[in-house]
Amino acid sequence: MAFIAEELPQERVGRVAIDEAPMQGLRPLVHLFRYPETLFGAASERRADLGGQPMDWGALPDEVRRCFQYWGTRCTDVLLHLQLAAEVLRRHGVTICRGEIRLTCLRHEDLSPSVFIELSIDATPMQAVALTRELDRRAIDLGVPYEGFVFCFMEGEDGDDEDDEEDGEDSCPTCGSLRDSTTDGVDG
Amino acid sequence: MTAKPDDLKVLAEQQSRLRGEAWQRSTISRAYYASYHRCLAWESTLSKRAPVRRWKGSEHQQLLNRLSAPNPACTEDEKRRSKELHRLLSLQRDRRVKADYELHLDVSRKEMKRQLADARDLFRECGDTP
Repeated sequence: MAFIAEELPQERVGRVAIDEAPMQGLRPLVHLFRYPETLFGAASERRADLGGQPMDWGALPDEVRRCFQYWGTRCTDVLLHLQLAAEVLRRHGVTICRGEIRLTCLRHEDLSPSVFIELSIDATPMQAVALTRELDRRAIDLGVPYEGFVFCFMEGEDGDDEDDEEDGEDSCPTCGSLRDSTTDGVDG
Repeated sequence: MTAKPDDLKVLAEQQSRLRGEAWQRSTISRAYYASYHRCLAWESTLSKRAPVRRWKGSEHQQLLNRLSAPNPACTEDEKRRSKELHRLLSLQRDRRVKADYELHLDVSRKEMKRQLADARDLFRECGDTP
């Protein structure tokens, strides 16, 4: 379920929680969620969008483990997805934003869990959508499992959530022709 | 069918013009259901429907299961589209669950826009013109 806004000492809480989770690869994966620059390279000065709520890194590993165990998802599946994501960003010269990867643990009506993984990048909203599509296609081509979690790129914080100036944008200075035909904005 | 998936998408687009987090949540929800029904309609056009891989989960989950593992007898294009629809619909489904149930978490206008962009991509993937 949702994470409580509570910042706890990372090393102590993180170590205890992960040690209790008998899942191979969970510790390095959670470390990567927390310090994405270890895989994605140096971050820009733009801050990651964490939805205004810091994550509870004490509870997170156990929630992720429960979700992945439900679906039979391996940490290596998620890691492979993240590695592909890094490859896509490198290809387009896009950097990540400063901060953690945003995780939201959800439970559907049928009680099945899911982990929503959102990585903030220094790009426009439409670039983020287009890069997510490219990543999806690449992951499909390679047959990367995609169960128990979803992943998308998102634009970093811009300090003005109500700004509609991006609506209708279909050009992509970084990605060139990635965005093929969407021209309709929020207002249709 | 007296209402079409596109009607729901149009409603979502119209709701997106209204300000306030409740409307943002509602837009995300409507957009997901538009996409869900569009995927069902798309699936019905396939020559071979995917076998049920597992019975775990709701009707919505079962649709996702079928999309992620299309029938091997489908064309290569159908199989690729099916898997792309699986990913697009999965993203929208999780946003919908967050919008409808996690009231203590912020749902931003930016998230609403991403949901609409993904819904548009999904309809396009199903062969609809923008």
